[in-house]
Amino acid sequence: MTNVLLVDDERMIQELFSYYISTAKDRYRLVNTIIDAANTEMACMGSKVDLILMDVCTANYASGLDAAANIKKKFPHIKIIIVTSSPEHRFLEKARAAGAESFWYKEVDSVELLDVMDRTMTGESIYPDTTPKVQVGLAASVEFTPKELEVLFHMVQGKSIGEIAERMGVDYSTTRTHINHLKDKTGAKTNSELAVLAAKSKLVMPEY
Amino acid sequence: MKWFGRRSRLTKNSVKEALDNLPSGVCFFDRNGLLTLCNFTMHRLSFELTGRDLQNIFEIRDALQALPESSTVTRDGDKFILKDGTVWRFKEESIADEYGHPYTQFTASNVTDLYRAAQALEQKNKELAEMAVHMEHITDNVAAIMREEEILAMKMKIHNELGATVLNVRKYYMGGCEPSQKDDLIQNLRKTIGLLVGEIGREDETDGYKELLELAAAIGVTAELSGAMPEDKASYLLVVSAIRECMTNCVRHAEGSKLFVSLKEVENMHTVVIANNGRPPEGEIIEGGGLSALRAGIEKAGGEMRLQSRPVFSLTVKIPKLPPKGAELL
Repeated sequence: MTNVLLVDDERMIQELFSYYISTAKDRYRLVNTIIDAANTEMACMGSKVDLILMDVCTANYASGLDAAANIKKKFPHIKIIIVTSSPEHRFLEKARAAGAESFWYKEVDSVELLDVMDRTMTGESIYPDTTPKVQVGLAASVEFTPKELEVLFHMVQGKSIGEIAERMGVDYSTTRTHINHLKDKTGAKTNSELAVLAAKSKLVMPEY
Repeated sequence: MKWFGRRSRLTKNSVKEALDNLPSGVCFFDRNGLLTLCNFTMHRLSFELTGRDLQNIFEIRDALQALPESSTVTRDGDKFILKDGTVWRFKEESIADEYGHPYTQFTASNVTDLYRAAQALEQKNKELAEMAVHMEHITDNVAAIMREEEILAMKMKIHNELGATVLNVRKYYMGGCEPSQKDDLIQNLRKTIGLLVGEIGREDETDGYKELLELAAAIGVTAELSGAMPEDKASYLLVVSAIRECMTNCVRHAEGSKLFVSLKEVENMHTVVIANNGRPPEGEIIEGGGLSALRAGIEKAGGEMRLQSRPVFSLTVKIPKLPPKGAELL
């Protein structure tokens, strides 16, 4: 029997996942549900946990990715599946770096989640190949290069071109060229409009 | 030769004429402070500064220190703005002529373009700073928007499933289904009703601190608080992080069962001291990932963190009270 800890602050998701787990009573048992990823370690100290379904954006702005990295250090035997609906491109690489076994984009489909859970528990690591496609102005998110995504990541934090150039270790003019390409692709007329479009699309979420 | 001779003579008038043609203002005073030479531009400037013709060094010095009431000039730092909109900067220097006689030279430079460019830059920087704050707010809201969208997607799914289940029930009663399909129908009904009952019956839980205390209590650890938790969200979350870190370490390393948390607010600073009833540390505490991350968060907020290992463990955290988010936009 696999003991599951669910970390998600959304009640509907809790209900739905709880229901999915209840449909596989022969192999899964939900031992606890918590809303704040920062409390995961405490929850694992109090219950025997084998598998964590971990949301990324949880209560009190706590990052499920940070919590996953911490759990992997303190409880390396616990398997973790990161679950999110965010298309943020960095989440996949951050989840890998944290040591999470699998990554699943939230869908309202029990078969798929249970399948990912089963395969993860048998030692597979399941990661999607790409992030969900979202629209940023006139452009689809898949049209952006990694460097352009990095520029957007800094722009939504309100950084100036000079600051972005410094953080990326590139010239001011290179950064400006990236921004001009982004504006051409998205149809944004100003840097501010571009940053707002990127933030609204949830393609970049610097706080997690 | 006649032409060369005429050009080689430097008269007082030619010096004055050359100075008058300068775009900058320039004037000289002798050791007694009396005006010895002044070009047109400086005459005009000094008249606007003092409200009269320049006679001695004290008039211009006084005017540059504090503009007289008769002046038509306004001042912005070390720059003087004339009523025609031009901006000037004055400079006083001690010089000597070829015989070693001391003079004081005043020059005035037209810095109008520079001043306007600096003003435009300042305005741009102000707009950028406002934009940065605005972006931070948008970013803050993204997680909330995403959560709303997740809820909406779930609700739509449940709504669709409920509709499908009702149709199937109708079909079943009308004899359109095989008896073997009854179990699936009942299971779908249970699932949909279960989700709806959950939606109606429970309040949203958002308090991560309450959850932490409940989880700790489940493993026999309690917290005794004296004082009130901070009201501003950012400080509150930092204090909760400090309590969480100490609680985890209390269980892991000190084998304690109680945390003592003292909260005070002194001169716009939240001061939190946390101790426990467990074993004292065997040596100096080395900050690992949790404590280092806590320190980073506290220092980022302008606060400070101090660890004590002997004679007993304690953690002291000071966090400046923060204005509510968005106050800087008002």
